[in-house]
Amino acid sequence: MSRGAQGLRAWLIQRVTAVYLGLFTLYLLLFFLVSPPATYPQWSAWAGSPLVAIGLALYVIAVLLHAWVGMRDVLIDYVHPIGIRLTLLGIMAFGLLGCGLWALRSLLLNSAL
Amino acid sequence: MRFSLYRYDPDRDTKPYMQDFDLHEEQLEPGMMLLDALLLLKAQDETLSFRRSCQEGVCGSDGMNINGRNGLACITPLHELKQPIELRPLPGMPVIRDLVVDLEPFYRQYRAVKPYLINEDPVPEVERRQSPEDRDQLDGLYECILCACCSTSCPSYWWNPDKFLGPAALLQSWRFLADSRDQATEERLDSLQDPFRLFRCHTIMNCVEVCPKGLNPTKAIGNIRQLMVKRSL
Repeated sequence: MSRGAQGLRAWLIQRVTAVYLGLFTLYLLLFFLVSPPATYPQWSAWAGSPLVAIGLALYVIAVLLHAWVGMRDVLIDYVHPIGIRLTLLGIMAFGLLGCGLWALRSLLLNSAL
Repeated sequence: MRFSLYRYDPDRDTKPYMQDFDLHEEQLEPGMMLLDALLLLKAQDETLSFRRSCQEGVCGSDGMNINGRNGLACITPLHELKQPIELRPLPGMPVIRDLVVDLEPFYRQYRAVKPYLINEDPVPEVERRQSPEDRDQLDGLYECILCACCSTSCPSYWWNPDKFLGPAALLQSWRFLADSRDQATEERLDSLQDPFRLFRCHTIMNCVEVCPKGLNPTKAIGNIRQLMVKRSL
């Protein structure tokens, strides 16, 4: 993709992550409706199985990217002073990155146990 | 029949206000359009200003906000409107006077998409030919009369009128991207990839809702996006 295509890239990320989020959320809903884990070890075993762990990790990344594009759109639309916009984008990036690292750490710790 | 009209004369008024007008029932005729009523009101108060020209929905001069919805006064049947009929200038545009707005920003965006055929081949002796199928691709695009009803009803356009091109200009961009005779596809797409010019569109579809010619700018914008994705893969 050529330089200067930030608009297209953001839009593509939003659409692709939306598809993954939709499908994986459906899986999560079905899983918790059909056979919800009753105990902590069951939970842990489920989240630690390689396929689910990878799926969850991708899910976390997709949520964060999707949230980033969506919130960035809102800020570009409504917050025009460039200083305030950049500050808010920075705070948001920090918060999302924090959430992401924390979630991935939990997944990694769980898989290691 | 009661009217409430937006009035503003920058030479006399410090700020805009709404003025009530009345038309007697005997002045009304069946099948009257809103523009006919406006002309009668102008006879009552000749300081009332609005644009109109062809009076049959072809020139696109009399776009205005009619009871909260953008449309052309000349093809809006009077009897279908709820009273008092509230008329305001096209939203978000600089007001010159009363219902007359400055459309220069709108035309600048139109010019920005290079709304003309770009073809570097030598000019043929006859016209540049096109198959009937290729010509069909332009239906629903070339009919735009640039009345600005769509762009001025678009929230994305209200928030970023200086950077987002707006539905009218983007429909014209697709009109030339879709033209089999045009050779500037790459440049046209390159110029629309930034976060603002095209991608401020969030598919709100107000443009489709108000277009007096029944065109679909949202679909045109979707087609541009599709072409961009195809090209980048």
